[in-house]
Amino acid sequence: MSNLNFQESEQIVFEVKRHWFNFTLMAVSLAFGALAPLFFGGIASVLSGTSVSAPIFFLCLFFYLIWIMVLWIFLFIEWTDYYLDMWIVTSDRIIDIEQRGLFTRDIAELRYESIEDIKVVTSGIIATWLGFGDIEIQTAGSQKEFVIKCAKDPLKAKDAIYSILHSKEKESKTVKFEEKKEELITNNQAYL
Amino acid sequence: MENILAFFTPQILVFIFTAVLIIAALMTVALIYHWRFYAKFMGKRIVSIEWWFTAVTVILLISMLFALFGYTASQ
Repeated sequence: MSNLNFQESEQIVFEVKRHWFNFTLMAVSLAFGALAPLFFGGIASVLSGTSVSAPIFFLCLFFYLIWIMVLWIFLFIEWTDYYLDMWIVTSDRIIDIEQRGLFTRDIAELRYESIEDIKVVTSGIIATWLGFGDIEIQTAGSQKEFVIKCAKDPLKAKDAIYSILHSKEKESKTVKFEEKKEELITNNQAYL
Repeated sequence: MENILAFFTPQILVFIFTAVLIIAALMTVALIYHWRFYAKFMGKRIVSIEWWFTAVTVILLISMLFALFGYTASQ
């Protein structure tokens, strides 16, 4: 494991990933980009009314394949960015993995104790209809801001994070209460 | 048209092909690295996504090579 180390007791609760909508939109536009040269080449060929010679055909094919290769690589970079951008919500913390381009990855983590507020922003008809939006976690102090854009089911993720947060708070209160009780009993025994 | 054909000699196309080949190889290695990283820390693999990418890239490169041969032979 290169950057992430999970504790033995730590468990992955769920992952927050980006919604497929933006990626699909981009993939469709790339498909149009792949078909456009064929379309315009066909039109140009029909309008000129001349048949294309073999060297020109192979030359055009060569450059068209380079164009397809560029689009294919671009699609995969986008896919990697889409798929590897995520939050891993574990029992102890939230890990934010942000893919920046192809060669840079930014990994940050957030402990539940420093969470102040969780904000969900869903803007637009499509985002509301398909159920995606941005999740922002505001933290105490000057930590890096935790934002995931176009997350899938943001409200569900927010509720799940809150429920972990509340159970953590309850747990720490119980521990504090037990410690206080223990201390009082010890003090009383010493007094008696 | 004649000027275009005169400019794009087979040597120039071989040079372009080599550049594309190097870029494609670098991209493939980088993408495989990313997917392996994901597989490592998540403890699961995504149905050999890197091999899909590599397979299509290789098919495209072979097609380019055929186009290059076709161009050289037809001149």
